[in-house]
Amino acid sequence: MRHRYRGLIVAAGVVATVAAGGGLTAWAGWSAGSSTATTARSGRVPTMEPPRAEISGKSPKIEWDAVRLSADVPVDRYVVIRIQGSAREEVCRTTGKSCRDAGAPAGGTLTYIVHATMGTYWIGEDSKPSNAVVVPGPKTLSAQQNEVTAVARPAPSSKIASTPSATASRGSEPADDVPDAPDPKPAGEPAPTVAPEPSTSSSAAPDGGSSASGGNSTTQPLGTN
Amino acid sequence: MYRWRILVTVATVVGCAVALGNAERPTGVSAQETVLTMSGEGPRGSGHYAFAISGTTPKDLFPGATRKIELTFANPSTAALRINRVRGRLTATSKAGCRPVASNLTIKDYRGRLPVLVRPLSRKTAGSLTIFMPRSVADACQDATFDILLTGDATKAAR
Repeated sequence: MRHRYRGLIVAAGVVATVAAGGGLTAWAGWSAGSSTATTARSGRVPTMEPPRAEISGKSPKIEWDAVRLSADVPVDRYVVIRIQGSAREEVCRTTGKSCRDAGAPAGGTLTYIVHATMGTYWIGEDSKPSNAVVVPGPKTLSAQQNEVTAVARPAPSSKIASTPSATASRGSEPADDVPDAPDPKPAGEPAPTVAPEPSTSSSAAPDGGSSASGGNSTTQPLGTN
Repeated sequence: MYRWRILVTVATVVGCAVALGNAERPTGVSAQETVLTMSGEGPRGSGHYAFAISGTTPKDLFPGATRKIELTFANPSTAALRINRVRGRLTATSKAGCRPVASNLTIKDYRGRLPVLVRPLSRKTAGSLTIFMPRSVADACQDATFDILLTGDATKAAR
């Protein structure tokens, strides 16, 4: 009897080992589901350094340093905005690193800001303003007619309605239609000594009078600067 | 009398063995990964099993960018698992104006071989989910965090 008892215990041990190994649990059919959260992060369009403005020829030329989202990802475009007093007007939208503001109102003191864009809607924050420049002479439209960049994207009419220069820049043509702007000087006459005033430039000081009223510089007589 | 004693002993031993076989054991799955649910009932009993999916966290998404979420499956149970389906779903973002919709971030289908066999008490890295940020992504989605729910279905693999 004792012998038989021992045999049964051994048998039970074998069964237990098999069961512990999963043999019995394998009988149960089951399925499992899992849900786990993970995350992804987006970047942002960097804020640009202030652009640099200078009078080149008869119109302002604006340059800036390129920015990138990451080492190998450049931004899509740069948008340059002219600031005259409290008025803002987009003057360039380009993939390059400079542009010319052919529609700049003569005689006005201007600064520029720039921001980068990416995709359809991503817009970077505006840079700080550039140095100020003063556009020479009131009659530079003939020199502007071939400049297409500034004509491409007129600002909303509410911003520029009273700006004759902007009106001129909206149209692709030429500015031979400036008869109403009295021009005491012939078109080809050298620009007055309205140098870029680099020394005064660091401040983005608004151009007091002309800006508040919308900056009608082309209709102003010479020397209002 | 002896016979009854023997039967009781055997039954007890077998019962303990079954309980041991069903017990879940830790596998070193980190807390971040262990949002899991699962239970299964079979025709001959019930069990409580689980597996975990974890994914890498892509960064620096931008309009037009494509990234991969590499996936790892952890199986803390004592039975081998067969992962049959894996999906990702955008559930939330950290910015109010950035809605969790496909026009802001698209989660594509699992890429990799299915099913994925994961041995008991082990982990396996296999496959990925591709995510794509369309050029139409909203401006509010700059510098945002996107929450992506990873889900999967598994069955016990045949032994």
